[in-house]
This record gives sequence, C-alpha cells and structure tokens, in this order.
Amino acid sequence: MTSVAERAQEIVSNYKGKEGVLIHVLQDIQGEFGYLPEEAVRVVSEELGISLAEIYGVASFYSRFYFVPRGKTIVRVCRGTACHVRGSGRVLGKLEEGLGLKSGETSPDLKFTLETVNCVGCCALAPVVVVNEKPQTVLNPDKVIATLKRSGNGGQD
Amino acid sequence: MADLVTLTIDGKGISVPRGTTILHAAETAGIKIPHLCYCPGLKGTGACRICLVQIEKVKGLVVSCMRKVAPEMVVHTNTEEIREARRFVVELLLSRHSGLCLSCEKSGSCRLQQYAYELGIERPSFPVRDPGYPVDESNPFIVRNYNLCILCGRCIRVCRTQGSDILDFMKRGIETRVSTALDKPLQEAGCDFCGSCVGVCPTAALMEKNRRGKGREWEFTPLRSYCGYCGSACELYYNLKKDEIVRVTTEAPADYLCVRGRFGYGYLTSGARLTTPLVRRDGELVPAEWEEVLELTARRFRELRDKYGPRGVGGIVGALVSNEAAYAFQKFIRAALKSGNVDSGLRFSGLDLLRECDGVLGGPKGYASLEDIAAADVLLVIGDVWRRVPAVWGRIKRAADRGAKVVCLGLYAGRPTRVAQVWLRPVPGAEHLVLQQLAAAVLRQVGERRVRQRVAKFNAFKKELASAVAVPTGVGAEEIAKAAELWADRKAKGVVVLAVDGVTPETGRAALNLCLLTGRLKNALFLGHSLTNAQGIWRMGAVAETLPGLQTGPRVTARFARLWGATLPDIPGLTAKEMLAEDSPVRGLYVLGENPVASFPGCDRVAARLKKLEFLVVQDLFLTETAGMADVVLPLAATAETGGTCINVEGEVRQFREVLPAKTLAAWEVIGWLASKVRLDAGYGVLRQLKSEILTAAPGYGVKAGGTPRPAFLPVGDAVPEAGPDGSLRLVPLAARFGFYEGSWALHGGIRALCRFGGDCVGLAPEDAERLGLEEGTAVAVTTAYGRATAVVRIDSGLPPGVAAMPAFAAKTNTLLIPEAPNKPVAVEITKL
Repeated sequence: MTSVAERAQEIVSNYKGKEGVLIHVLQDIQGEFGYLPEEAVRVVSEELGISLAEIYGVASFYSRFYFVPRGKTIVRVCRGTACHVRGSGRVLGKLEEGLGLKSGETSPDLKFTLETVNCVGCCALAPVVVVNEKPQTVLNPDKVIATLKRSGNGGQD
Repeated sequence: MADLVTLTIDGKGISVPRGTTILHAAETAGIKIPHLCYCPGLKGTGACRICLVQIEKVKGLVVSCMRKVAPEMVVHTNTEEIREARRFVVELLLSRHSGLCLSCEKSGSCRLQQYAYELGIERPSFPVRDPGYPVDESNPFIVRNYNLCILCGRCIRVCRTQGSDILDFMKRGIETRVSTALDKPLQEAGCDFCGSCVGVCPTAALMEKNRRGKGREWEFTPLRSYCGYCGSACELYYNLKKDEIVRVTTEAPADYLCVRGRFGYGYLTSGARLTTPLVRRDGELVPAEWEEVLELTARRFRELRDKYGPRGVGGIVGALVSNEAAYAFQKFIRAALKSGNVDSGLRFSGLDLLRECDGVLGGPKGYASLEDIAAADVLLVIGDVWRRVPAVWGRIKRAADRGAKVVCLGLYAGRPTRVAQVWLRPVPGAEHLVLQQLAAAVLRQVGERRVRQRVAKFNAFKKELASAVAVPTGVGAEEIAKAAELWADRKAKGVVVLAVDGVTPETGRAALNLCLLTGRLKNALFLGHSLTNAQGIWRMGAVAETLPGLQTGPRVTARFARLWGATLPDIPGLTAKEMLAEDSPVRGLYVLGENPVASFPGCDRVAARLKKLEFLVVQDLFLTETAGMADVVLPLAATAETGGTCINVEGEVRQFREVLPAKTLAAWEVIGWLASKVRLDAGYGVLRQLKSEILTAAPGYGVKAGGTPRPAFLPVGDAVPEAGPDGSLRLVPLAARFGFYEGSWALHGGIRALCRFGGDCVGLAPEDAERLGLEEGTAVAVTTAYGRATAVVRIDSGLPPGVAAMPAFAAKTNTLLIPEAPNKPVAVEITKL
C-alpha cells in the first residue's frame, strides 16, 4: 500500500461507523494533501461503502474541494467590489506577471497557486490578497511578489 | 378494506391502497400525469416538477410522484394554473436544450418534445444557451450527449439500482452535469454497459450507438423474445426496422439486461455466420449443396454404423440450442442411427450436480427464482455466479439495499463482496470445506433433533461435518460464526445463489445441504448456469442416461420405441467424456452447436481424438475451431430465426420468437432431412409436429408440475486442497468479468470490445506479480500438469495472493485444467517468456 492510501486509511479510521461523515473525511484528506488525491478517495469509497461517483458528486458540489495538486503557497486575490474599486485588477495583473501564472493556475514546481476570490469579508483592508489564509492589504504588489519568492515555500523555511 | 383510501381525482372517485402516490392513483383511473424524473421501477425524487398537481385545501402545487394519497383528497391534474407551472418548467429546461428535434433520433419518443407539444410551447420564451459539452463517443455502445440532458437523474438512479453505481450529479447550479467520478470514460469508471441508463433516458442524451441513423421509434416494430446468452434467458424486445435489429429494449424501462442481451445481438447478423454447407475437398472446406452434403453425411454414417456397430457413431449437442433442436438431435442419434451415444457438453458443466439438486428439490418448482433472490432476507452467494448469470447481481443489490444480509463465498473481490456482511475467502479448492464448517456451526445453533427428523442421511452428514471441522481453509472461525448466525435464522428467507457450472460438485452439494439443514427446501437454492438451455438439453433427453422427460428404464425405452417406430439402442450409451476418450469406439461424430475443441476441459486432447475420427460433422452458427476440423460443416439457424423453446435456470419454459428471416434451415429441418436419408423416415422436420411430439414424449417439456422433494443430505466428500510450498500458485477458472466470456457469439456479437485480453489473460494479485517480476501485459508461459499455454499478465487487485485466474470458457484455460474436474484448482507455474 502506498503512503497516500495508508494515510487516507488512518484518516477514515477516525470516522468509521459514524453517519454523515463524508465531508469531514474529505476535508481532513484535503488538509493532509492539499487536494483530494484519487487514490485517497478510492480508500474513502471502499472504507465508507459510498460509491466513487457519489463522493465526487458531493465533493464537486463545493468549490473548495480540489482534484488536482495545489501549490504550497496559495495566493488569493480578492475581486470583490471594495477591492475592485481600490485597484485589485491591477494587483492581480502584477501578481500574474510576477509569478508567471494565470488566475486558477498552479506553478509546475507546486510552489504557488494563484486564484481570485469574490470577497473575503475584510473590505476595510482593500485591496486584499490572502496568502495561505492570511489576509493582507497590498499597496505594493512587487513587494508581495518579492516576499513570496524569497520565502520560496510560503514563508515556511 | 381498511387499507384502501378513497379520493377524487379530476372528478373521478378512486380507491387505492394506502401509501400509493397520487401519480399512481391517477394512473389506475386512466389519468396520465406528465412526468420526467419519475420512472416506474425506480425511486422517486420529485426533482423535475412536471408532475405538479393541485390538491384542494392545500396551499401551492404539489409533486404527484412523491405525495401519497390521503382520504377525501380532491385532486386536480390539469387546471390552467398547473399547465402554466408545467409550461414554465419545460421552458426552463428548453433554455438549456440545444438539440434540434428535426434531426434528433429521439423525435417522436422524446418526453421533453411530447410535453412541449402538449403544453403548446411554440417557441421558447428564454434564449437557448448551448451548454457546449463535448459528445462522448469513446465507448462502443452508448453515445452520451449531455447537451440534451434535462438532469432528471433517472440514469443515476437506475445505475444505482442495477448495481454499477458509477454515475452521479457533478458540480452544482447551472454547471450541474451527470458524470462519472473525475469524468472518466465509462469503461474506466467500471461500467458494465448494461445499457439501463439508455433505456430510462427520456431524451436523446443517452443513445445506443448502433441505432443512430436507423430511424425513429415509430418506424420500429418491437418483438418480444428472450435473450439466448445465459441461463436466465431474460425477456427482451428486439426492435426491428424491416429485417434489421436496430435496438433492444425491455418491457419496463428500468428492467435489467446485461451488455450481451442489450448490445450483443450482432452475432445474429454477423457476416461470419455460416449460411451454406461446407464439405472437405482436397483438405479444404468448400461450399456445397445441401442435397450433396446430406447425402454424403447419411452415407458415411450408415457405412460407419455397419462397419463398427451402433457404438461406432455418436452425437454431442451444446446447451445453447433449443429444446426442439435437442429433441430432434437425440431422436436422430437414437432412432435413426440406432446409437445410444448421445450426450451434451453439459457433461462438463455441472450436469451431475444439476441432476442431484433437482432430485432433492423435486424439480423446478423447488428452485429459487431471480425474484426469490431479490426478496431474500439472507443470501449466500457462491463464487462467480453473478458474472455467469449477470441478472443475479441486480437482484442481490436490491435485496442488500432492502437490508438483506449477504454472505459471500469466493476468492474474488467483486461487487457482491462489497455489499456482504461476511466474506468467506478460502484458499482455492477449500470452498466446500468452508461450507461444511459453516454447516457444523449452523447445526450447533439449530439443534440436531429436528434436523434428524426432517432430513434423511443425517448421520452420514454429521460424520462428514466432523471430519471437515479441523481442516484449515484460510477462513477464520470468527467469520464462520458470523455467517452461521445469519444463516441459522430460520425465519429469514434464505437463498443460496450458486452457478452449477462454476463450482466443484462438492461445493454444490455442500450448498444444498446448508439449505436442507435449516429447512429451506423450497425456493432456497438458485441453480445458475452460464448456458441458456442447460435445463432443456437435459430434459429433452440429449444426455446419455435419460430419454426425454428425464425418463429411464426398459418400459420407457419400449414406449419410445413405439413412439419413434424404431428399435432403440441400449441406454445409457456413451457419455461425451467416454466418446472422446482415447480408446472410445466412436468413429463417426455429429456435433451440434458445441465446440469441444475450445470449450471442453482438456480440449487439446479432445482435438487429438477428433483427428482420429473417420467422419466428423459439425453444425454451428460459426466456423468454430471444431468446425474447422470437420469433414462436413452444416450451418445452424439461430433461435431468433427459427423460434423454439428453452428452459431457463428458474425452470421456466421460454418461447423464442422468430424475429429474423432464417439465414439457413432450422436444425430440425436438417436433422429431419438427414434422417430421411439414413432411415427413410420423417416426422421431425416440421416445428409444430415436433412440438406436439415433444409434449407427448416429455409432458411440460419435462418440467414436472409438482415433484415431491426428497430431503436427504448429499455426501460432500472429504477432498482437501493440497497445500503447495510457499509462494506456489493455484490456477482457477473465473468468470470474473464479461470480457472473460469467449464464446463465438460474443466474439461476433459486437461486444468483443469488452474483451481486453481475449481469452489470453492470466490474472494475478499485485503481490504475486511483483514477486515474480511480472508487469501488466507481460507475456508468460502458464504450465500445469495437464498442459501448457501462453498468456498475458493482468494484475488484478481483486485476486488474493496464491491464485492465478484464467477466464472460464476460454480454450487456453481448458487445456490447463483437470479434464475430470474442470472447476478444481490446479497447481500452476508461471514463467516469463
């Protein structure tokens, strides 16, 4: 058994025998791998006795479940009204250029994923960029890019 | 009656049972309520909102497919308000429906089109937005055009009911779409291509690939008949346009057919069908006239019989031909050739077991039917029966969905094991011992006294159980105890699901004993069989031991001698096994609808024996391996051309309908003609005459009206699987998927595409493959004590380590198995080529 399947098995075992746990299991799996690896989903299907189709039906209903690997650092540019007024379009353009990614793409080295989001709810900070769940005001996109690149792995090393 | 509810629908007073939906109640009064997502045979979901109705004193419109009737309800189904609401729904559907009815295959039978018409929608009120989904044509059978889909979800529900369960709604809102996990093509997603989704689709979103361009449904004539592929002989409708089958449908839209029934009809019209007789000249088979070849055949048989006596000639018939063909055949061999040597390939696929079980159960009335499986509370599913008789699986699934407990016994991790509460997975060859151990555990729970009273031969049975208890089988005592608890519940309706051709006789007998043990004597044993007419061939007397109607004895022989106006040979004559033995006296052989060179165990030796014959006639649909060796090849007409009957695994007599013009003469016409040349006698060339003769000879086609069961435990035997050294492999024939079916029909039936490796593969557990350094697709030599073959490795995580599985029915597999015990695992060695 591969490590992905083994880890998935461990995650599911926390929930076995309980009803209505599918979404929790999927969230934990995504928390572990950053997305839902097919191999892990197969384990979930086997262990919970839910068909693969049904699991993907549930998972694809929610936009926050992902089916392909994502970058270690996830950069979300808010495109809500307040941010838009304060120039989020230009921020996005700069970030796309600086990271070499279009919105929705992940860099081949799996370092960055760039996406847009419609509102993160802290409009007072606009224009907002959320880096790995941490919102920040971006007045100078170049500086953000430089920080991102310097920290390489999302400020983790 | 207390359970009836009286209500008023559109002014009509109606009484229906409590719990009926308004939609059904209206139907009984002849009031049709339009509906899209509701489909008879499937659970309702109330999604489409077309079946809206008005109930007086109830606010708003309600969904009639979900709302149950209540006393004194007053329902209106067709007011202007309702029509307006329905119109709105259909208009919304049309806004995402980019199809052009003018050129749509489904025009005239599309429900969306019908309702748009009924509601008077002349032009869409909303702009039509083409979803722009690519049309999926990646598989050979079904075209999926989700641009025409209205998201009724019928396909999803039917897929779940039939047990494939590979479809669901993906995404959400306007992006919602029916798809498989990760949008994989159907083959990869695990689709069986039962085609039920096509059957229930109300629009043209799902279509049979082969029917495209062949016309609209109003041009088709649906003719009811039965499938000829496996023992369940499912009812189906061939939809014909002129003389061409354009699609196959079922009585109710959600009824099950497997891929062979729904899409495998191509063999009937295949260009490879034999249509003229062939005769061997200068070593080559060349076309010839009927008169000439039958003259030759009759002369050669006469000569051989004169030279070697009646034991020098014989006949073997396959279990796919009709009762009438089988009856005519055995009569020809016995009355015209005066030889007792008539037998069937059934000899190698469970004849003895069938006979034993039938004896105990007292005939087909005592068998379990497919519906008994669906209605069971506890099921014991043995081996690969669900692949041999595919209709079984849907029934198991339905029972499981209802809460039935399922115990599986077998090596392979397949669908039944997924729904099973207990999976008994023994080492190969220990299946019967597991059942014996199970019986011992059940006996402890039910107590000896009553069993002893009820069932004969109890002491012998108990002795055998005692000797089986300690034998290691690979199954733990805990599992056995769990299974025993389920099976010992005598109030639960229990059914054993077995394929008589897919287990060892020991396993079959042990299974029957388990039924007897718990007093489950009636409708508790399902005797599945891969071949359509296993029951009929045997009952028509096309086996060495019995005359038509399963009759034997001197008086019966005398009666048949009078009926046939001939002196009859000694019965029993030689069995197929004896006829094909090295030292058999047979010099001339007539083979009808059977392919011994590929389908008999030890088939390479069979081929060698056939080479020594002085005269071989083969009559078949195709030029099979055996036909290729013949001196004379006669074409065979299919049951879909000639009609005739078969007896299915439930013991039902099923009448095939003549749906296609015959490509050649009916089997009995050929046999009648041949008989007149051998013996100047007729009487079986005409179907009607033949049928009335059969009914005289074997009333009710030998299906006895109400036989008396004779409950007596059968001896199981104490065969113990030989334990090889560590890491050794056992070869097991397995019908693990449809692709494993290698008969000539499937080959020419247009379902070849599912046979990924043909009959050439050997399945191995990932662990074994890794240990042996073999990869998917590696060419290997497979060697047993009985033969050697080449094969391609297929890594299959459904298999346990220590097992090498090869497709049941395939010629290569048959060369490797023990000729006397084709279902017994055999030590095998696998080496890289």
